[in-house]
Amino acid sequence: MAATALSYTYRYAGASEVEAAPGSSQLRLATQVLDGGPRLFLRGRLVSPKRSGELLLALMEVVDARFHIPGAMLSRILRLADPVVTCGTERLRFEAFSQCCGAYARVDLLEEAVDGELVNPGTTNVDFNSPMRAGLARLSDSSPALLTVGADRVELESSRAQVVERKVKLPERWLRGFVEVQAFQARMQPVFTATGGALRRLLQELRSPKGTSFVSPAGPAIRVHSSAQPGAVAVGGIERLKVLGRAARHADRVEVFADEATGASAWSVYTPDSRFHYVLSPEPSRGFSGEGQALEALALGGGGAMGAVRSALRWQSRIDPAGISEASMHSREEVNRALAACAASGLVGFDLADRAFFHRELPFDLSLIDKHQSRLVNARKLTEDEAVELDAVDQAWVTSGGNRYRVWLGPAPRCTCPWVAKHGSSRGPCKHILAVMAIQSKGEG
Amino acid sequence: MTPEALLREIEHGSEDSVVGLLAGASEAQRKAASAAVIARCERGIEPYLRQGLTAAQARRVMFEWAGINRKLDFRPLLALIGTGTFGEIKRYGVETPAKTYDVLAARKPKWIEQWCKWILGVNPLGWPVVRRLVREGLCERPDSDEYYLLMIHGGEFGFARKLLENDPGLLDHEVWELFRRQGIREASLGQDYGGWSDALVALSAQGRISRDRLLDASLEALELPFKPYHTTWYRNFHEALKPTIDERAARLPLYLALSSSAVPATLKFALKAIGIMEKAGALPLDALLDSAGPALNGKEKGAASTVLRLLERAAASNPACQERVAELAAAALEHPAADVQASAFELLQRLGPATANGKALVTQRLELASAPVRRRAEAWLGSGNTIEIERYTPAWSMPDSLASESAIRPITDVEELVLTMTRVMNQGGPPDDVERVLDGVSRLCAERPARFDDLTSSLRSQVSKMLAEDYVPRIAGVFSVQWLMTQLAAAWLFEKMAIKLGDGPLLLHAALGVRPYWVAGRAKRRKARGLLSAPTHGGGWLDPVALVQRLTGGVAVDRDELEADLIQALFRLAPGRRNEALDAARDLRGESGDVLRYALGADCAARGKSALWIAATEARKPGHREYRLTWGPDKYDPTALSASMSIEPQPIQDVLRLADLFAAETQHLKKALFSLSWTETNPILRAGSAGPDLLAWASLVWPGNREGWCALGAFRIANNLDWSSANWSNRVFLAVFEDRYCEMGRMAHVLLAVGLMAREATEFDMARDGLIRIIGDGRLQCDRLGGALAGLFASGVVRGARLAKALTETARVSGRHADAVRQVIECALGSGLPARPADQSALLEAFLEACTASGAGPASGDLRRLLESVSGSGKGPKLARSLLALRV
Repeated sequence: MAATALSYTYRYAGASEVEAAPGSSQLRLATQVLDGGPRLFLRGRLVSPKRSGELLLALMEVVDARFHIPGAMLSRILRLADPVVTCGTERLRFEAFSQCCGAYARVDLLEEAVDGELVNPGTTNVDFNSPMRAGLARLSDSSPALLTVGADRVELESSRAQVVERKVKLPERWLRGFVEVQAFQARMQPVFTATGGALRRLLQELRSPKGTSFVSPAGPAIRVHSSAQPGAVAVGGIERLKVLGRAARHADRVEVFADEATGASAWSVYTPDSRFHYVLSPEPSRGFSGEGQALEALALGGGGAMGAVRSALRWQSRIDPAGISEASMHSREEVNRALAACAASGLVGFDLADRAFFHRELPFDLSLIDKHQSRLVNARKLTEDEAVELDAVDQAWVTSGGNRYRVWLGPAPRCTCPWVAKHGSSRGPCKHILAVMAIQSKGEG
Repeated sequence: MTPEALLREIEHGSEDSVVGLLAGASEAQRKAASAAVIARCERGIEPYLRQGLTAAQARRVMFEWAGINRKLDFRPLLALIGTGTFGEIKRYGVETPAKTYDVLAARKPKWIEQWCKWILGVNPLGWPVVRRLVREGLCERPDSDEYYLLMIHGGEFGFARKLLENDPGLLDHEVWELFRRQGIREASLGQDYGGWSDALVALSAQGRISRDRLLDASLEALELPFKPYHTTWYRNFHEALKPTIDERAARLPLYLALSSSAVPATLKFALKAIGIMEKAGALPLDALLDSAGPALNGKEKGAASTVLRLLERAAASNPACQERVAELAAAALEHPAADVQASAFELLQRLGPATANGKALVTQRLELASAPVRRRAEAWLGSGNTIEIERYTPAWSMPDSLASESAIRPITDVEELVLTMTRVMNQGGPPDDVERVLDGVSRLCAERPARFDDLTSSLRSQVSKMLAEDYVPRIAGVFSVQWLMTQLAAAWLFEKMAIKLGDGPLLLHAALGVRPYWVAGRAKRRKARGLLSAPTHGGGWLDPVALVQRLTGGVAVDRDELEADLIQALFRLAPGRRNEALDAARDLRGESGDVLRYALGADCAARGKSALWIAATEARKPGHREYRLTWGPDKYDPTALSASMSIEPQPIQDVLRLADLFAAETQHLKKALFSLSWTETNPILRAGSAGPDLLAWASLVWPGNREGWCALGAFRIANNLDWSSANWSNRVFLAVFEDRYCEMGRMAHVLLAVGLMAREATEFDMARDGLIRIIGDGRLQCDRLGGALAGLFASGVVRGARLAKALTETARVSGRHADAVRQVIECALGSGLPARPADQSALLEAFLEACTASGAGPASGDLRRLLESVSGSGKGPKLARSLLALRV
């Protein structure tokens, strides 16, 4: 199936900038001009401008990052996509995804970091440009920095403002990855916590061995191993952690998470008033988009609780599944399934620090994702072609491409196809397993 | 202009006359002539077609190269540019002859912007044409990196000044873009042949370009995410402008922003500028304090030291900021360089007695400090010694290799065999599963359960594709785990047989192919039988009682196969349960029974000298072999290490002994063909170019005796210490340290020593992790490792820095590890200090860390005398004195 891209136009009310004046700075973040007109999301003051500036610079490093360049990629790579900002209750969040689709970062400025007023909650794109980057590097704690996210009509009519438009082609792979990474985070478990000093030392001494390294706490430090150890987290392409350098300068502590099934890891850096979350795919050459973690949710849909969950979304920083379950009379399991489906559709993100979903709606047309999830499409075709023969409990035969495959469901689904033989469950279920799940789910329904 | 007239000029005129004729033509006339011009161009490709080029290739090169002693004729190309469509022009190569501008300027085609964008992407020499078109207003300025950056491409040395003087419009816009765009392959300021720096400095001195703007732009360029290589020019250019103190002061926020750069050279540059301003009294204190953090938290030693000096001067002249300076200095206690930590601590001491707040701040930061600094700080704080002291003594006994948690579960049915085989085929392992599949095929090849064809459908399909693609070699053995699985499946499912036995001295992969040969042969005939040699426990171990049971329930089989299988089984016999097995083997008949009883320790003599009896003798009690590795500078590259190996009394590698035994006894060789001299040759030839998966499987051949394995590994890694060839297989040898059943003999320590010097990051990490592990479980023999290290240093080729790093990291794991490292280094230094001062100080620094952490100074009288002989004021002598000052 040929790669698909979404033609997308970034249309901003001006360009983001850091305007320096004697004794103060003004950080203006330009956001998308929507059909309903300009929108002001937030206005306030950065309490720790230097720290916030450095976290946003680290985010920009992720936006620019290409940790893996496929062999066929010859032309110079232009930066594709701008970060996404969500102004919600209690948090101002900036999300970014690397060009190689293997690294996701999010900066959460907590209430303590911004002294201001939430004017309108919402999610939108925000313009990050080179002059703004330079301005962020010059923010200093010794002079105040005002912050606006968005602009109101009055500001737009000022002489400074002019609409900035940029057309890009967002690869479907990039979009899918942005969505998939939420499913990864929801599955992750905390493995260990270390001090900010330990993180800084790890980054200072980081080498670049090939393949997968393993990290674990060793007394006050974090040690890197060449082979798996009990309590160690696998990190493929460990040099990707260098992006944490700026955030680490301000870190009090870091919490490390892992998804053992896939080998993905997440690093949550905590500062006194903000967090930097950094999620890495199992290897640099593997983006999140091919990992299939959201496939099950997409294949089975959100179930009966979907409506209740969607109506409960109100830009909250922490969605409470128990509360939704109680209010809607749906079971926790049904609510969780619906939340997983919302994540797979870009309607919610996952916050590792709070271990909960938060409401934000990615500003892209994500119907493309469902249409072009090749494994999902193929699984659906198998069910439509009646290629699935349920055999015994949780077992089936699937006919595909002239071969017959044996599928076993259960806690660890298996299949005799080469895909599962090579990848196991690390990249989600194969199309045969998905097809059997779908048929079985219909039967149960 | 008519087509005929144009063709006449092409044939008989000059470039000028062609251009002149085109100049007056309308677009309709041009269009009318284009077919004839293209036909003329097509005639021009004939000589190239005769040389074997395709038409497309010929069109592309016809205006680039005319052949030897022939001049290029651009008349047809100029005519094509003047008459053809953009698509037609593109087909005929990318040359831009001198008159190209004239033709395009006269024609003013609608596609001129497209042409400009295209030519810039394919031919850097097209830039002058594009520039002239832009300058003359004939096309829009392209907004591409190529347009701006190709300005610096080509030209003679120092051409920039002339270009800028002849085209001063470039100074208004294009030149400034050079500060915003990173270089591309064809054009980068990294190598400034054009003299751009000199040109811009000169023009700014003349007032023709804004000096202020150049100063700003060069700093702003350093803020952009350029690759480090591309940043050098901007730093150098900025300094070439010789900014005054006032100019620097005006740009202080920029320098401060750069003081948190991730590019070490930029960081150094920024700190130097800040230092200049500080000396001139132009640096506000707040600015210094705000910017100090990143350098102190980074890894660059120089930058951190510079900042500490600046902070000390600030504190001296502004006592009010001492608390803030102390906070920053405390942060530097976490710096990875012990020197910086020491400087930070000394600054804290000079700032005065620690307040309660200050004490808490320092205490927090001490966890990651080196042991010497930690000791001093704790003494200063009066907080007592937190360093845990524990002595290391080797104490290891082999764990039970037959423990239940390492038992291997045989494959039970065809379903499981299909799943496991497919997985091993696609993943290349792990080795235990390779053996499980081999045994599974051997035992289950005759079974055909219900829906067998369906169950094996996917496997058949994959194997068919591989057999169709695969080149089947004409030599013996197996070539990879994937190949092995494919051939087993081919025999089992398609009755095809491709594994061959060798008929001469065997390489490793041939030896490994012997058992699969027999299994595949039976699978083809559906003759099932359990393998004698299938391991019962992880790592290749075989329970002796299980072997007796297998022989007891034996199935009639070809004698050669039985021997090969039994030989391998004997090599895998675990040390435990032998008495029990001997008892059970009482009634076994035939030579197999005699051999097995002898191997298990029966009170009898060996009854033969065949391969079977030799294997039984080795299994009964492994013979002693002396492996010797020597090294020195490589004769072709004196900076590289070259190793050679010899083995006494028999020049045979243990793991390859199996190959020789098979060759001698199972291949019906004539003795004359099997020459012992083969076994004396370079071990690399014997192990061949086996990939990591095959080598990992080979490690299961003889789990009980690793010395030969380690010797081979040490030999291979030593000959590639600086990673001159990407030999990814070598790291398989270093996995031996994860084998908790492996006794650390002399060769194992040599392998470890070599690994600790390896340049390749994973080999180094595996060796370091191996050292940490074997200290933890008591297997390390400090004198053996120290002796091996001393031998490596004596070669005069290896570097101490990598080793010192590994030893320091190991020492920090625990007090026990620190003490082990102390003992190792003491032994390593026993035969003298490394020759190079850098190696000396690296090793002494690691020694000091280990001694301080373990609470014991150098004990040996000879070593103390050696340290006393180190004189001078350099780092090495200072470290030697610190060591001598430690309590023994």
